[in-house]
Amino acid sequence: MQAIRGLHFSTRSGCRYYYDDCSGLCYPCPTGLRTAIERSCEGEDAGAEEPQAQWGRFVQARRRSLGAFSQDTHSFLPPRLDEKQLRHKLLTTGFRQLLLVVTDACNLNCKYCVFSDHYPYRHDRPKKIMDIDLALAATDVYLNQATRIRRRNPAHPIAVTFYGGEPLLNYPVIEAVIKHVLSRGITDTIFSISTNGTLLNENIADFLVEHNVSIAVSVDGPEITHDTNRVFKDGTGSFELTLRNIDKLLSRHPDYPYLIFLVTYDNGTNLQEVRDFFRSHDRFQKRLMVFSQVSPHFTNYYSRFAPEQSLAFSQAANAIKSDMFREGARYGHNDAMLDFLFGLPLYLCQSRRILGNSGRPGIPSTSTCLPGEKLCVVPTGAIEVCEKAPGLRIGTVETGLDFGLIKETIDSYNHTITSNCATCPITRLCGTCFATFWSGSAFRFPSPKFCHARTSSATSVLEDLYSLLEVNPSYFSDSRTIDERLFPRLKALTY
Amino acid sequence: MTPEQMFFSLHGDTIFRRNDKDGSGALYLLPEAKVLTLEPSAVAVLDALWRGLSPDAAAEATGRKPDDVRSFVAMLEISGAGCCLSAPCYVEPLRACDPLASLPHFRAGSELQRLHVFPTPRCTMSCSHCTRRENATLKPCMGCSRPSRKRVAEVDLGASLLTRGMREAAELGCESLTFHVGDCGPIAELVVRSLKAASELGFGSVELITGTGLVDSVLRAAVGAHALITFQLLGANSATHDAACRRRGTFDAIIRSARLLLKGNASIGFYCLRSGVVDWDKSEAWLELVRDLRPRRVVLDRIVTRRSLRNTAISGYIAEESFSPPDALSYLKSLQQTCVSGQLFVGSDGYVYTCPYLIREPIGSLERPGIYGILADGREDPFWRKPISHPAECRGCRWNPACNLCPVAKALLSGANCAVANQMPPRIQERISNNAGGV
Repeated sequence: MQAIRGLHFSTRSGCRYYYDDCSGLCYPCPTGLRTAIERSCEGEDAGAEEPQAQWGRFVQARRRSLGAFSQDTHSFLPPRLDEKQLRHKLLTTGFRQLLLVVTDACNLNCKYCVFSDHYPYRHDRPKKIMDIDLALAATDVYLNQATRIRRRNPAHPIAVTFYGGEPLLNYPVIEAVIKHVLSRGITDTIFSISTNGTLLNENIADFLVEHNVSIAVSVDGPEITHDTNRVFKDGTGSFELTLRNIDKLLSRHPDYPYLIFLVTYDNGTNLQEVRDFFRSHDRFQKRLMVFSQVSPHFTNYYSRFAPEQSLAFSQAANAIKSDMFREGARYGHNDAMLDFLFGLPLYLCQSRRILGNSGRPGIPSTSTCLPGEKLCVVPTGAIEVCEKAPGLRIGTVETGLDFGLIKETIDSYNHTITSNCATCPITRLCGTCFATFWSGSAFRFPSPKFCHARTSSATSVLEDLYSLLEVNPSYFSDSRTIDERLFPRLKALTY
Repeated sequence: MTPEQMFFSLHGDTIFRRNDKDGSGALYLLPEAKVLTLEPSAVAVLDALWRGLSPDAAAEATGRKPDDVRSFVAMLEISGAGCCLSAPCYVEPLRACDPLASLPHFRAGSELQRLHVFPTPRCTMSCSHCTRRENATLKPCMGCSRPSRKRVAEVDLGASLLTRGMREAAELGCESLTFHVGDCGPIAELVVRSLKAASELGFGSVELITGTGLVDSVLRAAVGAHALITFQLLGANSATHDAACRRRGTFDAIIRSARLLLKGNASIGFYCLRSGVVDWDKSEAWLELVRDLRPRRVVLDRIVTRRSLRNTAISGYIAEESFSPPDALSYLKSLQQTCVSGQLFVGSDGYVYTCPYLIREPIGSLERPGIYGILADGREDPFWRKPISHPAECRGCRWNPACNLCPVAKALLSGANCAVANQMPPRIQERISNNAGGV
């Protein structure tokens, strides 16, 4: 029996659907279609006289014209990219973002930090602070390639992001890099920074605002929630200082559009309190909020929560999510938690790629980017794949990208991870990437049942999405317009 | 399931179009590449089923026999158009491939595929149909109002400026170049120089569209540049053509040039326009001309092209026809792109437009910011890419099958009233109504 990549799911109303991963399309699935799919898996075609014949033809027509209901798992595997092809690909479409880890140091001691003892990642680099010369050299390496690519594709983005540790601990480098980029005549660069906000004084804020830097400040919710995890080295909370600095920025630049809030939660978070907090304060209105769960992979962090606590968290989440299904509920209505924590997974599911190949060239599945699309430069001068995969090196500032190393990385990823995806029913919905599977020293699955859980989660998202759309077909229809009006250019960087 | 529990739904890859004129409709079954035409009574039954009525209730509501309605529903199921379900479901319409690609950071970059150049406003002829005349008889494709050309300076495009624009386009990967010149004679030197430059810049496809015969220097340059020369025909013989373009000897000059080009192994084409004096479908003289000259392509003005042309001797030459039969992939593409996607138009004033009928809306000029700067700023994007959702004014519009969110139509939107629809000539209204199922 040969599986067809896809899955069956039902909505709250009892309607049954089939999600076809080969094409990305979803079909209402009456019994006849279900039978035809099962027969197709078994290599049988419905006879011309049988009642299911029409569904057999239905499946065949879509297989022929759209590639749906396909059993051919061999064509799923992409042609292996050789180093030359990889080089060509990256030199024509790579270099989309430079991420400068300007310091590994941080003035906070957040309990869920990926560089804490709960995770296998380490900031054990011999050098903690990036010096100006290295930062400018890295910027030039990136800009030389990105501007060259722009000659062929004027829409090619140029984006420079400052990351840490706490990047504002090395503010002179940030200022120097921004001025350097502008001195090269590149005026449409997307600058962004992720900060805890405690060092965001008036001078720094004014400079960042003047240069349209997207400022992403971490705020986990009300004071009690925020200060549970986001604390200084002496254990005192950072909420008051962070909020004071945000308010100062907004008082000087009330209409500044490029201020984002990063919200991190875990099973101990009181979601309803967090929701109310963000809904009730003006400073958060019409701002892009990015909700992230404390990473559950390769960690013992979640062992601190009792099963009852995790259960209560799930129940609270479901209670809030049910508000999406109430009559008249709509996107972009001053409820960031509903829009971005619960709505975004559904929206992304609805925005899945339809037809064509999922994945990147040479990487058949998962949603990972191609190493070299983003360049993460650390204080030692090494170029890594991503800030979320510490230690996964793909070159150096001095020698540039190492295409051989990138190929090895892709091969290792394909060998360990995507070779398991040939029969996966959710390759277009998976949402995983290098960072998901990077354990600090090698790629591996975070847990034996990881893919099973991922499929369950995707099924649940499909069930919620279609339940929502049955009740309110236009829930997301205007979301893109709303987002583009409210968050010009910001949202692109958050996907 | 019992009929009372049944809800009928079309599949997401079946497109329904209604003909408001007579209440009939059409179902396009994209994966099956089939079209089902529906009588008004069948459309009424579909409406009833969509309201959630059972087949029997739908029969009662529409005055049809219950058996007829059940048979109709069974036919729709068997043909692959839709299915019956036990509860109302959500059907996701077939849509563009990757909505996230429209986000700036993921934008793949606009691909300039063809650059059109109108190097001169001058012409020795005074064709009644000419789109550059304000009182022309030939209407633009959408039947929209003809933009005033008074602001266009009566000067030719500078050769160096044109070359600069061509070079930028070539650097951006554009491979096709089309010159539109009513009469090459007055600007022969510019045309020759441009054809030579196009060849040097490596354009893979160079086309010169003209309404007259060519002078020797242009003929030689065209052959040297391996250009396709497309002649506009208003009639199938000298009597009809010359009368329409109001200059004697034009038809003969065109045919003479065509033969000379063929001798030089160059390619020729014909762009046939409706002048009101020839029925291209039935003209024996025209068919004889095609058989004799074997043009590489024949384009028929899309408003006047008729389905019946498919069955004629020249059907193999039709490069473009509206209301094509459905095809899933081309339909998907059409959801994403407008008819001007990938094309820029350069006027003789050096301004750059996204459509010849949008001369009130230049998106830049060759001088500033140049082709490169235009694409870098994404100025073409609103015209090349269809919006994800229809503008509120356009929802439910009966002209959508024809307009297809044409950027000209968008530009002419005026409040809740679409100028396109209001100004649509009756002849075109009738044609579109007759093709209401067009996708």
